[in-house]
Amino acid sequence: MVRPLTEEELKIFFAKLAKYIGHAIKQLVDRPDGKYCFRLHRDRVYYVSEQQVKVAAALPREQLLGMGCTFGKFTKTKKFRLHVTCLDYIAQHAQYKVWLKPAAEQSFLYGNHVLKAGLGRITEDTPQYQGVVILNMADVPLGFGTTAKSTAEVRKLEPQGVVAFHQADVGEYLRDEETLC
Amino acid sequence: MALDVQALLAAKASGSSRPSIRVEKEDDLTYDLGLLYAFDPSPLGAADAESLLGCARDNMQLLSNKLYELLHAAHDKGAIPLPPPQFPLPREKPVPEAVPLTRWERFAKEKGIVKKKRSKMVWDEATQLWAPRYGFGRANNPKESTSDWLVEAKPGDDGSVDPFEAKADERKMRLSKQKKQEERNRLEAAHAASSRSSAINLQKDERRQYLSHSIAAAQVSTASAGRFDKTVANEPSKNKGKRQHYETATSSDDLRRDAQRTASVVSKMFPENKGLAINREVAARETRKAAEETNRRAKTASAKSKAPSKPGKTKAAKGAIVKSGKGKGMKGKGKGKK
Repeated sequence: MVRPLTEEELKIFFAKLAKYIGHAIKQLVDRPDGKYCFRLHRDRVYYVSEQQVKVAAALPREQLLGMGCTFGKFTKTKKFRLHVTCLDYIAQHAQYKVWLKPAAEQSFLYGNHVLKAGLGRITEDTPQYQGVVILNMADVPLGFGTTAKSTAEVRKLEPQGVVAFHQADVGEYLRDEETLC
Repeated sequence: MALDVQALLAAKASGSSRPSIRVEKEDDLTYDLGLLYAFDPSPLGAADAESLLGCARDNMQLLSNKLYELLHAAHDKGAIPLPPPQFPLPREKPVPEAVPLTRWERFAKEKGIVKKKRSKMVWDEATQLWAPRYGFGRANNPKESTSDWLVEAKPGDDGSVDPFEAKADERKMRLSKQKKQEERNRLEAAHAASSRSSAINLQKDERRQYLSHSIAAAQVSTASAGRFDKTVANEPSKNKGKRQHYETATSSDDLRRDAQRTASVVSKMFPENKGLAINREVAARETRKAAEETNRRAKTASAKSKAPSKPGKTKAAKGAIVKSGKGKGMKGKGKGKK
């Protein structure tokens, strides 16, 4: 059954989401263009308009594969994992960003961490272990991750040092096609 | 008239077809009368059936004579009092373990309360007959009695409570309490048994059940009934076994509630009066900048003071000169030592 998230689930989910977009969560919740909400189905969190929910909720649980935009899923230990499918929303509202040099794009899209050598640009004053969106130099979002070092530390880093840990990238649309939904 | 008893007996013995109780044999048997046991150490002469049978009869006769001696000495002639056995025989089965006492039995033992034997039959007032205390056709059976079809209201009663129902409820409570206590006794006994020997699987199962029961009890045994307690690692959930009810995705009430909940979670995460919240990173950066600024100012000030300048221009300059002067003095001392 499609259902709203409980308060605990919301807290866990928003805590994870806030690592990437901070208080821009407010803009996801109150949208001027209609009522949107988060819904839980098969442990996955979907971001859907209320009209769409009404249609989706009419379907039998077994037959409903998904609706709206998948933001991620709750693991069996009740932690939340963001999926790459939510990249559109995260990239719109991201506070901190990392830009990749064209040479490092492919490596990242194959699931590797971002190294200092591949780093094009990074937002000023990015703290350590901050959720960041990773873009190419043409500002196309490629995925997201977590910084391994703060901006100040990155400057002193050797070229093979890891700048950002890989969490999700658009390459998953090909690599994990059957599990991603 | 004197009777020749010996002669009479001899005549009787010779006349009777049954063998005599007197045995023409030396009594060298070892006895353990408690076990009705006799042992003949003398070697067997001939091994033919007749002599064996005769030997067995004689020995049996000797043993029964001994037993009759005991009967002769006893006060009660109805039974032979056997002495305690001397020969230690091994048990067939292990010694049964002591049955663990229930809570009441333990308490009674402590207080020295002894159970009184009650008669099986009691006097039934209604039928004016003796009837069993419990079971079929028991005396003073409340279900059959015609006396309590009416309950008199007490002065304080307001008539809101059905007295019959209240009585039935009370009985139900009593029964359930008893059942709970019995269950507790059983579990405690199982627990005690399992702590003695943990070999049997069934006991292990019961021990697990006992553990989970006691954890569940401990979880709600704090001042807040477990509401504000920190959960320990791997602690079982408090609402285990309780079915969680979720809201529907579409009903308008639930939609409203969901929106409210989402808004409240967001507002708690990002409070409106942001002035109170401090970003640690930003604050650290600001203090670092401020410290650098003061350092730089101090440096430039000391550099200025080193250069020859007219004393007594400003307060700050004066201070700087005094400081540098001291430094020069120390330098001079060092040179002097050299």
